[in-house]
Amino acid sequence: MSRVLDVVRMHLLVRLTFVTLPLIILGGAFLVTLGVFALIPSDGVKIAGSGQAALWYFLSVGAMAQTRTFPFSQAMSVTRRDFLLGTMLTGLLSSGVLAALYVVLGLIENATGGWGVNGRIYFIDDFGGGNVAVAFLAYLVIAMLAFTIGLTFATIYKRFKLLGLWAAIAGVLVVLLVTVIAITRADAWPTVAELVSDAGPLGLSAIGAVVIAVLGFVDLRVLRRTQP
Amino acid sequence: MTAAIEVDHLTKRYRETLALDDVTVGFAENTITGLLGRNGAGKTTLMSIITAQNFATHGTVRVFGREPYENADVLSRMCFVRESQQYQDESKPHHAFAAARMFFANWDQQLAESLVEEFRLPMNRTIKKLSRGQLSAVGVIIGIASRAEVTFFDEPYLGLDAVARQVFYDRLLADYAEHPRTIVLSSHLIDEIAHLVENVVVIDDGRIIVDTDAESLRGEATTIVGQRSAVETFTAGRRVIHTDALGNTLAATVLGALTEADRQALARAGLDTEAVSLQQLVVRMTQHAHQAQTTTTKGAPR
Repeated sequence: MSRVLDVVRMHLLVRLTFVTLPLIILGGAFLVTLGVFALIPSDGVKIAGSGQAALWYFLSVGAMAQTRTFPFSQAMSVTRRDFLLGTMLTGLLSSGVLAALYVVLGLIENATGGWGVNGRIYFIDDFGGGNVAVAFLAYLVIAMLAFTIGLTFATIYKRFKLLGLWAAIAGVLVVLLVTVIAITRADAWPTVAELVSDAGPLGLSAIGAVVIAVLGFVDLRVLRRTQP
Repeated sequence: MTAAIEVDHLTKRYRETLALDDVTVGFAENTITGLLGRNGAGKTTLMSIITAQNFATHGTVRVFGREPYENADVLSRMCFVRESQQYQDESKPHHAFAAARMFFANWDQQLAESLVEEFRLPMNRTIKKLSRGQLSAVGVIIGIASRAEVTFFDEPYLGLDAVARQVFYDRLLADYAEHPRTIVLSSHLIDEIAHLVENVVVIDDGRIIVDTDAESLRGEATTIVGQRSAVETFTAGRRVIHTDALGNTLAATVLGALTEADRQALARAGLDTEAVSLQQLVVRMTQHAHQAQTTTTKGAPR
């Protein structure tokens, strides 16, 4: 277990990937959006998706954890299993910090009447249904999901090169497409919408957690035969 | 002496090439072994399979009697910084040393710091921006200061100037004397490390062609110099691995230790002997192995 924790510490030695860049993106996206809001003359509700920029950045945080740090971890004589567990734990930690920041920013957003300009960047009410803990969980799962997707596909790239990466992406797209076609054919979209709304942020977070676990398992299988 | 590393019938096949061809070799515990061979001979492949960074096509590797793959107990006792080692993005030498300090239980911080000074390694430049020699120094410092029970050095001198190379050889030997461990030094600058190594393993085209202790290898070959006919008479029936002719003078390098009778015969024939350096011997043997192989291939259709 201590070696897993050492992997976490190793990831955090160079703060750029996990700490500095996410904060810059979060802060930058916030300031730019606020500036744009201030320029819009209307008094109506102003909605922006830019607050999610840091969440999407976690795709590349996951990818970089693999491509940049895995080869070094091998020189440090870390087993692949310990590397993956430590990396996932690091992702979870930083997703947690990011989610907490979102919640805090969301609370400020609500308290200040949308930053004084009726803006909506952090959607804490939509994500949590008014419950701060649920909003935190939802953000945590989204960030961690992005991280795990980036990590897994980077490992697939490292193991099977470009061809394998595209095959994996194509495979995922085919599965999604088939699902969409099947739902459309069965005229089941209203049912799906109902299921999603019934599940709520909590249910969707649970589904996200299952996807994260599956991806982590896939990653470990691939990583076990990957060379640095 | 027991073997810290046992490699048994190890074969590594890449799509078109056979990187390792049925390699069986042992590396003795608490010994410095020179792993010698040309570029592409299979040195790095062998070391990375032993440290479970790469995978064998066939065969087994045991370190301290156990398989190293995904075995934290065994892996944590080994250190292998490869020649083309990648480091974390934007990391500086001190980041790499901080990581090594976490993962290698025997890490000696003071030793690392004094090596940094001796190699004049700039600690506040990102590793990406270091020169080739400084990059090698980072790997060398991790290798020495980690004091891992099994340590591999993969062409550690690349880009290092003569002074820095001497620092490496001296500091490695000094630390090894105080903290004996199993060291495998891969190199093609053979003469430079000849005085360091106790055992010699020569790998050529994925095959082990020499596996012996350095002392007996040094007496393994002699160059006989003198009048052509006299040299040819003496070398008849011996394994000649190289000849150089200049007019009527012939220098022939023969394998096998010379007996007292041999020496008397040489004296009678007025022939001189010259010692063969480890480097010359390895070069000649490698060339010889290739020629032998070519001849066999040519003869194969029959």
